[in-house]
Amino acid sequence: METYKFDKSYEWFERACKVIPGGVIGHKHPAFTVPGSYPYFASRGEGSHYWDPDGNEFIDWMCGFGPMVLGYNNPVVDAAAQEQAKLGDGMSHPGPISIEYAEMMVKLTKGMDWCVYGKNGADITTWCMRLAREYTGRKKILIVRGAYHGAQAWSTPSYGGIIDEDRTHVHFFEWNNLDSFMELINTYKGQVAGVMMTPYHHCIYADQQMPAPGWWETIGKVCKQEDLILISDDVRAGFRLDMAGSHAYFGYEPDLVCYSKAIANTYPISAGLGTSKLKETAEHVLFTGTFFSSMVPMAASIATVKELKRLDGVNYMMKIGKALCDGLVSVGKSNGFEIIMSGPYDIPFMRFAREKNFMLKQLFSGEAAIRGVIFHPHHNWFTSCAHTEEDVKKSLEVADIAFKKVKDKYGSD
Amino acid sequence: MDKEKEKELVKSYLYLNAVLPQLEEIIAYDAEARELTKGWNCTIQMHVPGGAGVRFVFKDGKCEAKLGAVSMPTISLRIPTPEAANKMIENTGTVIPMIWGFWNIGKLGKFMKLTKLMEKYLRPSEEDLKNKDFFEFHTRVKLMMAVYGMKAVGEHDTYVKGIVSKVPNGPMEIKVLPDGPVAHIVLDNGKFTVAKGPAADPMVVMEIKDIKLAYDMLNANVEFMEELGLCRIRLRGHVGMAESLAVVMERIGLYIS
Repeated sequence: METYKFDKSYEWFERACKVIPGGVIGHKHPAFTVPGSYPYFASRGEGSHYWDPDGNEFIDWMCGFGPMVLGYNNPVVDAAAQEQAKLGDGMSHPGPISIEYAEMMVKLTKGMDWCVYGKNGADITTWCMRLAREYTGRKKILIVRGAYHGAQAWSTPSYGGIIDEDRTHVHFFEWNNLDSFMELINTYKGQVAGVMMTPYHHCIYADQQMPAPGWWETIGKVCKQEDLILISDDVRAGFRLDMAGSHAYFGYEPDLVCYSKAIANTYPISAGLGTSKLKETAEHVLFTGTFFSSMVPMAASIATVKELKRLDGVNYMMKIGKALCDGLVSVGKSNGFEIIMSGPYDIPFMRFAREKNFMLKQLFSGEAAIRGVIFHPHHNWFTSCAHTEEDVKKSLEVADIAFKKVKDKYGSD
Repeated sequence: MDKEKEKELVKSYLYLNAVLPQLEEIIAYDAEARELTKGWNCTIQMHVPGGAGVRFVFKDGKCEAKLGAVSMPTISLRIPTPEAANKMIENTGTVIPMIWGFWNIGKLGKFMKLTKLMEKYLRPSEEDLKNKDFFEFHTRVKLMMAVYGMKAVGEHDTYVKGIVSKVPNGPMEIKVLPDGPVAHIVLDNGKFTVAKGPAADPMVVMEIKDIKLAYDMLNANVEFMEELGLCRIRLRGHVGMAESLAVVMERIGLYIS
């Protein structure tokens, strides 16, 4: 099988470095993949595939880091967006579509009574934190160590530009460890405004962890007892476990739910939903941004939800994810490797059982990328409704070659 | 500890545990330095009580730098505070250390000459850098200083300690290709061990394309993320660990230039 070259990507990157710090900003920087074995830019996409500036075609198991849920350039979603674009997008008032959008989200999301809209997940998580503080009159926010809630100063996993005071009132506990949670609750009795958690633990560079039996039940109970606001950060998992919210899937009852990523099939929009008890307080916590009320992404989101329902999207993504995950475990085994897949089938994280440092995974992922399959070496992957059984078949064929390359260099288990 | 005191403390660790230990390399490389120490069989140490310390063990024409102080060296320069140690090394004030082993005053005089000689390698002239051999040696010394500096900053800078506490344990190896210097640093629950040469089972390896790029990287003449994208610096292994430890290395520049 012929392998790809990325000459144009590198040319573009050198050009980018002159005007963009680091050439590419944030988590899409080549350094977080395997530089030299991945494209650095995407020129166009269609369905579950995209093409880079060199014309190389890829099966994309990253789905734009989550937002692509129906396929790139989905005709139904794009038609709805274009129809709205003809009417107008960011005008001097919100459009009636903002009400339709909010009504849809409220109706869809279990236990929620109102909805606000922003652009990114971090807009919503940060606002929810402020809302919890305003409602309770307390300062402390508890979050799980290693969880990602956006790149704001209070939550970024990076270091630049952070001062101690940014996190003075943010405290960390361990996932699935009730003792560490209760220790914070008891230490800061009467000071905790809220608890922000993802539905399951999707940390980077490590296996994903599902909630232990009784975990959510106890967290919910303690939050009620202590009158804390429970914030469900469903930005990554939202619409991939349950259309009613991942809290419906796991059976907990948050006060606030944060969405972004998958809710509009790559159009930029996020949503915050809350229960009625917080509605009045929400009016007093300013939430605004120049582009928050743009209407095109709302039209796209409404169309996305309709399509996901029509296609029974969550079940399809799970099914295709299971085929991929089971296939990788099996192909890995046939090459002498134990492969660990963690997390939900449609948001999987892969790891070689024997390694801690990702060198095998990096070689595996790089060898797959130069043959047209995008697996991320360090981050969880995503499936979409656009992925096909043919995509899975081709990906497993490529994976077989990639496993052999790993075996050649590092040996099998 | 207030910020100013912490700054002096970290700086003293950098000088005594990262800069001065490079004397070992310089004595091995520089003929004048070797001549000054010819026939020595002794241990000379500099230390701040309860703080940074370094000792140089001279034996069989070689010098080995070791971190920390011992109780009975041949000569000991006991410097009362980190501030005094920094002033002494920067030559910005009069510091009279308490000296043990005064009867070896001749050696001490030569030793002080050696530390002056270091200047040539640590702050080289443009002319010296044109010499390929000198350039390579200077870059090697600077790389080792940076790696040893990571330990000094990583263990004593409060801000960095916060970062280090979240970094997985294990070795990070830094090597200059094709056959340049190699060193590694091992993190174990907030404590660092530094050594020359490759690591046995590294968590992450940083490979720098050549000695020129290593020089440019260490002198902040290039942008790290760009070099990663252009594959001139490569990371293999736990990239998150390297990302965090790069912050530790960058922090050295806040204390010493």
